[in-house]
Amino acid sequence: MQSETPRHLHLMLNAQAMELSLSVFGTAFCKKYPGEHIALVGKNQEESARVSGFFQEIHVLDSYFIRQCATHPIIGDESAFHFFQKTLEPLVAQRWNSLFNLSGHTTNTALTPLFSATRIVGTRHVEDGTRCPEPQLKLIAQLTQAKMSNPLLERLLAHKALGQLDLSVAEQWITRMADLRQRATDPLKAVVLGYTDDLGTQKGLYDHLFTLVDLRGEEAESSLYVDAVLRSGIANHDEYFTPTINARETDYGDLETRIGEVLHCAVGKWICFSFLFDSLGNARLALAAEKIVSRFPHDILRDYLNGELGRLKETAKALLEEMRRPAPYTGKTLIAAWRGGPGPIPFACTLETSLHSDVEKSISNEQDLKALKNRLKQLNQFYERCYRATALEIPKTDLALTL
Amino acid sequence: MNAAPPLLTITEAKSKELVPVLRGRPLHSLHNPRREAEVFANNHLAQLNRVPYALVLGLGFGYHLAELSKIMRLKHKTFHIAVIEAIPELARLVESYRGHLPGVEVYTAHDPNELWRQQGLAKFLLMKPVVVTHPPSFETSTPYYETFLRHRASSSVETWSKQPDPIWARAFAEFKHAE
Repeated sequence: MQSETPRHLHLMLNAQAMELSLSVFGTAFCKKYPGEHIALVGKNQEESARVSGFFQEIHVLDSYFIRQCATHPIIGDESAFHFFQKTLEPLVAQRWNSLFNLSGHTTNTALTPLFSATRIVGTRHVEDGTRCPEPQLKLIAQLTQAKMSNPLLERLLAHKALGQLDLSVAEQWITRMADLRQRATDPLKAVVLGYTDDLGTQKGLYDHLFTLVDLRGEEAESSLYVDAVLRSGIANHDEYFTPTINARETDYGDLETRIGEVLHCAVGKWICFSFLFDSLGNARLALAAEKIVSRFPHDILRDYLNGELGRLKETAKALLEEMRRPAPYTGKTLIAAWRGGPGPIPFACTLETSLHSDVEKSISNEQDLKALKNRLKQLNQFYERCYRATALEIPKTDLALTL
Repeated sequence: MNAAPPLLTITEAKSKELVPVLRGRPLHSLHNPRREAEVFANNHLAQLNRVPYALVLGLGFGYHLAELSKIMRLKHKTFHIAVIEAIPELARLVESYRGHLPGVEVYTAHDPNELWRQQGLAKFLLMKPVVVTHPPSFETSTPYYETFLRHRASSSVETWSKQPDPIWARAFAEFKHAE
């Protein structure tokens, strides 16, 4: 007899999907999706799923084992398929109220056609391709391809997709960052570093040079809004939105270099945030983020913006070349933008293409290319405003005409 | 494989130990099966020293498995023995008389092709075990063990023994190649 309690299936066959799904679980989520939540996880995610206490049932699909069997010269595909089907059949036989594939990861997406659900949230296969109607979830998947993924940012985006966005932490920190930069007495003091563990004897040195903020006890999201996170004894890490600095770095020259790298990233990060908040429907925060960009030390800002203008010109050229060609469009502009490394240009491009529900053909016609061109134009206008706000000299380019 | 039920009986060796007799053939020595098992295990010493995984073709009454286990326990921190047994009835008989042998897992099915649907066996084979044949078991069920040993992965879906539903086949193909 069919149970009347709603049942929701979560596809989490990799670490990113697991982390993202656990981050959205909360009172609001359970209120919106009442009933039983069932997890389909990979072997490595089983423990986390159990410990979370969120799931009434946990089913494990050992992807690594199945793939090993499939490629084994003796065991082979047929046996592997049997193990695959045996694990999934009990879940496929049920009718689900909701099916969640939040990260859009290909392993999870591959399984979506097997399940019958009233509502699917996230990337799914359909007859003629792969779709993701929720732009924020598509953005999560595409940011991974652009090597700009970040679990804290993804959590924000997932909350927006699920109608549970809360920007109070962002608001609080933007106000605080703007205030700290304004009060800075010298360029180094304008560098805001957060710390999440005990820095020991190093704390005094960093406190003297920079502005230190204690992130212990703060929301995890706070790490997004400082320039970098100081970690004791952990190697420097270049994750775009939350870079880290090894607090045990004692060589001043190396520290100076690292701070330079971090600030370079931080300028770009706040440009991305301005575009992000705008896409999340909060123009006020978008403007506040733009003002923070203008408050970076001018020599760093000038170098950054001049470099970005050059990159923007290259991307615009690639885009115009693509527009001159007839369909079908390959999305070469987007791929070229991603290849240039993380930054505002790939972020802005990805924001645009995430609005297109087709996952494989984000650029399918001339209208899509025009939309991408408009997005790059917005970025150029953003840079122009930064130059004017800081009275920096704008390099002569024909970007305005080009775009 | 729809063969007639095997003629399986139990007899007592001179050493008072029990010996199964299959189709008139005793599966261990009728004088001293434990001594025979000891010699058998020692003959495979070099193989057993290499890896802590052994795939044994033939369960018999388990005397050889006990001796193989002794050697492997000395040489390896942990070890696992998987046994392929052609006669499910014999496997049930041994379990009822001797219980579960520590470190030993028995896989059995009337059709040897069914063995390839047992996940535990597949996991074990991925560990690249040494293969040890129990001669009396092998000789009384040669076609079975030969079918098992000759198994090779199918080259394409079309050659599978049972054709999958297209939706399942597509999902599996994509799942295999997904990052």
